[in-house]
Amino acid sequence: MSTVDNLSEPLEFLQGTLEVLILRSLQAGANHAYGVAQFLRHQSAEEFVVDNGSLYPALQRLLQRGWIAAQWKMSPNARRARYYRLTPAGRKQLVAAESRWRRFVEAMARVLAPEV
Amino acid sequence: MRAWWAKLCRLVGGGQRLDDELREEMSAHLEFELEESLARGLPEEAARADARRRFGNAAAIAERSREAWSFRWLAALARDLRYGVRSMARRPGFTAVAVLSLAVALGANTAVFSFVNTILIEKLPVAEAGRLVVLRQKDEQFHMENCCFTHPFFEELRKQPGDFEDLLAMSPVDAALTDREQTERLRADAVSGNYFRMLGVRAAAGRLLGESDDGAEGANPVCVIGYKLWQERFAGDPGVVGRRVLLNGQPFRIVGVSQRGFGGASLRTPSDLYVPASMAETFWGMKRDTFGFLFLIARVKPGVSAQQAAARLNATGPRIQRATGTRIGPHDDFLLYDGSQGIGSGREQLGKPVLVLLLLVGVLLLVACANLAALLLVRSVERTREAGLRAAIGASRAVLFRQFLAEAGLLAAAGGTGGWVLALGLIGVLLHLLPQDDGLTKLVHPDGLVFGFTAAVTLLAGLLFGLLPAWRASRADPLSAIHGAVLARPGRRPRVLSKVAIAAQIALSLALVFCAGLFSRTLHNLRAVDLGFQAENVAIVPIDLGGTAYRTQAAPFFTELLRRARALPETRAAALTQLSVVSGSMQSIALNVPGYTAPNGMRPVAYFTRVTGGYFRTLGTALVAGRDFTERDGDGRNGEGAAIVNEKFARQFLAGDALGKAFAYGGGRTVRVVGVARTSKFRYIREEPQPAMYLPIAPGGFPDSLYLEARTTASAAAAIGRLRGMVHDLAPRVPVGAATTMEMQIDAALSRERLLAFLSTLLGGVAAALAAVGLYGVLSFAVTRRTREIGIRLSVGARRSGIVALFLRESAWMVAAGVAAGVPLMLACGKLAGSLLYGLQGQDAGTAAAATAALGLVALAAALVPAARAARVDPVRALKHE
Repeated sequence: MSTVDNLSEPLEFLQGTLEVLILRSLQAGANHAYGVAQFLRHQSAEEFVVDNGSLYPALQRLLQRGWIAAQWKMSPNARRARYYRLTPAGRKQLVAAESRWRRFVEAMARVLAPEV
Repeated sequence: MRAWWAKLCRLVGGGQRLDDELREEMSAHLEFELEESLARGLPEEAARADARRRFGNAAAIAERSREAWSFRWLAALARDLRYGVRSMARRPGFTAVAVLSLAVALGANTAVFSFVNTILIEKLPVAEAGRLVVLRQKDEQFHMENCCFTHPFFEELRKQPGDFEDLLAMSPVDAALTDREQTERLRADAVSGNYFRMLGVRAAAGRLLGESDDGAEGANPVCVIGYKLWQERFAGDPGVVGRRVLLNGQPFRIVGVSQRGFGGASLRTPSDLYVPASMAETFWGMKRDTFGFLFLIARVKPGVSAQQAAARLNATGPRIQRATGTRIGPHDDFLLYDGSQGIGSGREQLGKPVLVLLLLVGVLLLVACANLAALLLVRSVERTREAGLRAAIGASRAVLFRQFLAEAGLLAAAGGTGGWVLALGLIGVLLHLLPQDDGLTKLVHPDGLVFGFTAAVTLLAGLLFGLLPAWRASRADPLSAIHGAVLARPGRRPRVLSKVAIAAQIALSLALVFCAGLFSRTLHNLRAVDLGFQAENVAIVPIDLGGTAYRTQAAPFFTELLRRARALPETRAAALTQLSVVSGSMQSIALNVPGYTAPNGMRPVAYFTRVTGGYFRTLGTALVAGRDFTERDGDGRNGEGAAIVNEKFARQFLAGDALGKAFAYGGGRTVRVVGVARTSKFRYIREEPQPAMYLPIAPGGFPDSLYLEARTTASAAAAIGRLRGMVHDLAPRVPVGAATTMEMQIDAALSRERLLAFLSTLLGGVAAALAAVGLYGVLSFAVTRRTREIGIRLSVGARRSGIVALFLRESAWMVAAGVAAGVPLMLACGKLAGSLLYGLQGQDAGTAAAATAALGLVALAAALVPAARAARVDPVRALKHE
């Protein structure tokens, strides 16, 4: 029995999806790493549990590509944290990724559950 | 583009700041997690643990994030190198041995490759040098190769359609250049009209020589000077074009300067001046078309091999030669040699020795690599704990592998740098061992190609000795490493691998020591050879009257010179001779011996030289029959003359009983044998006994150039000064050539053998020392690792001698395996060295046995030290150790 079939296990990320999810999480507004992880967990109804070992390198990669920018700010509970926000390039990237993703999901759905 | 720039900025300046930022960000994150845990009502201590668990391995996260930042490999490399330097500094002894052994091996490779580059790779700086061939021809009658051809033959051969795109003729000549009352002796080339055009040389000023300059004999007294001469003698003055100068006393007009960097058609002996071949008489004193003096260099058509061209030349060449009046034998084949270095490249003489040397230093490098691989493997076991710990805190296998490889790379780079410096010194030593006049001194220099070679070999060596230990270390098992169980329970593989490396080292060292033995014994055999004369205390002073006013007074000059030389108090005997023996030069002449016919139907040929009376006494060669020359003896040009022949001559041509028999030589001059001398070495020390004849120097036939040879009562080297002074007193303007002694001349003749013996002994010694270090290192580690076991053995009654035997047995297996693998290597080396040896075969069993014994002793000594240490183990302390 493989992990994917076990519904009690969180879903594994497909290559590159984490970056799209991070971009999406920042669309709502700037957030820090912990906040991004929380957002993804809640939004996916606990299906995505982001491992920090993947999250941090992904954030660094996005910074490198200039899709997000970082800034030190005070959090609402008065803690200094590093906030990430989408750059215009990141926004464009997200739009493109969303449409790609929808096409991918539709295609997968058709293959997996063909209409008879 | 921007991302790259940002990466670069971070790499150069911001690495530390980024690290701090990441650390701060992660600690803030951890605080959020902690708040969450506390909010769920966990007690403080448990909440902290829970937050850390959920956050994950901070070091690993940081490591992986960092990889996203910079040029990953570059930053990682910098880190690995920093770590490597620290790790090397922690073990200065090991590092010193490693770097030093690599430096020696790489230095030797660089130095020898510099010679290979100069002798075998470098080309003339001319157009399409790779397709040039030098024409030579076998001369069966005189057992030699003929270098030179006649002008009519050249002109006819050029007209033939064939495999040659173009064909030039040139002849190196000595020229005395006189300009504004100052005379200078230069090396010049007498060249055919197409010389410059064919070589693709341009003029730096004025014009070069063309076909019109090489027309009717003696019609064009013009010359082109080389760029170097133009700069040095004429200060680069463009007005030099059109200037009148004297060459060998005759007026010539300078018409141009050849381009910078061009030094004639011989890489080894550059030329300063070029004259048309039509002016040959000025330099040779003979009419151009009457004798063979021209070297021929051809450029073969693309796609035609030298063998094909030679085969076709043999079909047409001899016919043209006979038609143009050259006498040749039926089997006098043409030979085409590689001409990319022009004439006199020295390839035939030195090419094979340098290749053998390159092989030997290559083997030494392998030994050094095997040695380092063995030591690093042992260290990789020692360092399993360190590697395991690093793996435990999140280092991946790739990171560990890279880390250990970087350390190997550092060692290699340090060794390569040291080797480069060492090579510069070693080149000087090697040049010193070669004959001084070889012209190599100015030419051997490490250039870009040599640097590339060294860099490539260094890199290769680093990979060779670094890969295996790095792979080993990257397999470290974190669990057993942290339990500290490493020394007690190592994997078998590294031990086996390091033993294999030691055995390989012994095999390779054995081959090197064997070669050293072969070459040293060759040198020894050649030194012990019976020369047929006494080499000690003979001074040799060459005197050349050519181009001086004494030329017409040769007879009285030399007679007086000999009288004065004999009158010196330190002279025991003195004589004049046309040739100095075992110097590599020779003359031979065809004979007409009544009653003798050579087996191949050709006329017999013998070496000959002209000597004055006292020659045999001077050299210490015994006259076994008859008498020495007197001043009344003639050489046959005015009626019957006298000759002294050696025993070989007497046996071969005169049925052993030579005295009183007459024969003719050259153009029919008859001589009668008045004495028989012991056969002595004539041209080479290695030669088989050759028939030789000695003719008297008769008053009417004094040559311009003679050697004054004197046997002295004390050191001949000390007498040279007196003899030179004496020549100067007698005739201040006669130039005295490089005076020498017979022993120095023999040394020069053996320079190649000495070079091989010296270098192979050096390499063999270094290789044996490295093998000893490797064996010592591996065994010492085994002793450390098994201290506990030794303690147990001793405490249950093992004898200390038994412990020594235990470790000696372990090393004996490695040595035995090495020797077994070394035997075919020795055979291969012996086969390769074959033609360079003298007085023994390449598969000489005695030398092989001696080499094996020597290496066995070295190995025993290297093994005894750790074995003795093992025997001194204190059982109580060993058992308490862990």
